[in-house]
Amino acid sequence: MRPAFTFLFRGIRQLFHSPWSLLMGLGTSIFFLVVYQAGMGGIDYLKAFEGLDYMTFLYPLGLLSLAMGTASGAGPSLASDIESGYFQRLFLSPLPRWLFGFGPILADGLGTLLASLLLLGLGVLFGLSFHFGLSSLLGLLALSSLWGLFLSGLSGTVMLLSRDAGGARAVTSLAFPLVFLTETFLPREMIRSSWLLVVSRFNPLTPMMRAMRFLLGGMGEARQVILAFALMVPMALVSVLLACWAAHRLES
Amino acid sequence: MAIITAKAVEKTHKSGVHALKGVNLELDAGQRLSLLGPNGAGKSTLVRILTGLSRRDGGVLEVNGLDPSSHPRSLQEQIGVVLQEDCLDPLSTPKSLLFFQCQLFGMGKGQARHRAQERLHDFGLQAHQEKKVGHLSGGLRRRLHCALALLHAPTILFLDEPSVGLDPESRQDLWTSLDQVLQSMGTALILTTHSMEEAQHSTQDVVLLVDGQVGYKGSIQSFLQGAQGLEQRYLDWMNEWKECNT
Repeated sequence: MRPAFTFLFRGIRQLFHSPWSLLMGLGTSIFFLVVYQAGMGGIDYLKAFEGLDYMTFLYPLGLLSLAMGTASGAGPSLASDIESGYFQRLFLSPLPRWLFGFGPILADGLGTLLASLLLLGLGVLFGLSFHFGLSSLLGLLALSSLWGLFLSGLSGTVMLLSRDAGGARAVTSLAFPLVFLTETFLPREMIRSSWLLVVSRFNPLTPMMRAMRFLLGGMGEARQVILAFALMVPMALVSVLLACWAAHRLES
Repeated sequence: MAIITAKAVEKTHKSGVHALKGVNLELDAGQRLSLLGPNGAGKSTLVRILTGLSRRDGGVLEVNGLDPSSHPRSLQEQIGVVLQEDCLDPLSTPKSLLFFQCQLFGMGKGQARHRAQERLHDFGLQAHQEKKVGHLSGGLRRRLHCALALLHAPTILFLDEPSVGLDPESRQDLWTSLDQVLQSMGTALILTTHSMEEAQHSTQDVVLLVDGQVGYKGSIQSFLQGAQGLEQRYLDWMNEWKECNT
C-alpha cells in the first residue's frame, strides 16, 4: 500500500509545485464573477430571482468554470509525465497500472476541492453566505469536486489513450460551452430563446446550477440537490474508471 | 540455471510488421549477453516483451519463473530496465527521482535515502544530485537511468542501447560504473547495442537477431572464429546471412 500512497502523494505535491492550472482556474472564475456582476448585477430585484442577490446567483458559474482550469489536461502530473516520457519509467515499477490513471485524477479532484474552498472563502469576504451553513458548504464542495473529477477523468482517458496532452485539453474545452448553455445568467423564466431552453433541459449542468443555488441561497427546491448528486456521482465514477481502465490497458 | 527461457516467441505489431518470428533464448544467472542485429531486427521489441512492457502474440516465456504478460508487477521487482528513450522527469533532481523510485519499490524513507545515496555514489552523480534532470548532460542522464534501473538490486538488467549518442569518455565512465555495480550484485545482463566494442567489452555471449529471428547464439569467442574484431566478424556474418537468404 505504501508505494501506492507515495505515488498518489506525488500528484498532490506536484499540484503545489506547479500551481498554475489551479491559479488559472481561480483567476478565470473570479474574472467571470466580477465582470458579469458588474454588467448584470442590477437585475436581481426581479421576482424570478426569488430575492437572491446576483452575485450569489452567479456563484455556480464561478465554481463550475473553476474546475475547467484545475482539471484541464487531467492535472499537471499526468500531462508532464506523458510529455517527458517519465510515464515509461513509472511502468517499470511494481505499481498496478490503473494507479497511473487514478493518481493524477485524484490529485486533480483535491485541487478542485481546494480551489473551490478558496473561491467560496473569497466570496464570504464579499458577503456570500451559505443558506444551510456547513451543510451548504460541504454540498457545494462535493458537487464542484465531482464535476472536477468528471472532467479530469475524461481528459485523462483521452490523454492515456492518445498519449497527447493537447487532445485532453481539447476535451475540457469542449465541455466549456456546457457551463453557458444553461440557466447561467438568468433564471429559466427569463430566458426567451427557445433553443437555449431546450438545450438547457438536457444539459447536466442545469441541475448542478440549481442545486448550488439552493445550497447557497435557498432558491428552488431541495430535490435539485438530490438530482445533481444522482447525476454527478455516476458521471464522475464512470469517468474515473475509464481513466483507470485506459491506464491499465496501456502498453508502454 | 536459466533465469530467462523464451521459446518460439512471436510478435506482430499493429502496423502489420512481423517483428519476432519464433525467437528462442536462454539466459543463465549472472550471464552477460549482447543482443546484436541491424535496425528493425526486433531487438527492442524482444526487450520490451521480456520486461513486460509489451505483450507477445505467441510462444512461451519465463523470466525468473514468471510469465511477464501475466505477472508484470512481480517481474518489475526482479528486473532493471534502461530503455533507449530518455524517460526522465526533467523537473526533478537525481536525488529526488532516486528517492521516489526507491519508495515505489516499497522501501521505507530511511532505506530509500540510503539506497539513493549509494547509487548516486556508484554512478558518480553526487555532485549533480540537486540539479534539475533537464539541466544534466546526456552522459549524466544515462548514468541516472542506470542508477534508477539498479536501485532495487535486480537479478537481471536490460540495457537497450545505453550509450547511444555518448562521447567516448562518457561511455567509458558509464561502463566503469556499470561493471562495478553489476559485478558486486551478480546481476545478469542483456545488452542491445550497435557498438561491437561495447558488446565485446561488456558481455561474453552474443545473440544475433536478424529479421525477427535468431541467426546466431553462442559465446563471442566462438563467434569471432579468429577474426580480429567483433565488428568485422559481424559484418562478414551479416553478408553471409544475406547471401544465404536471397
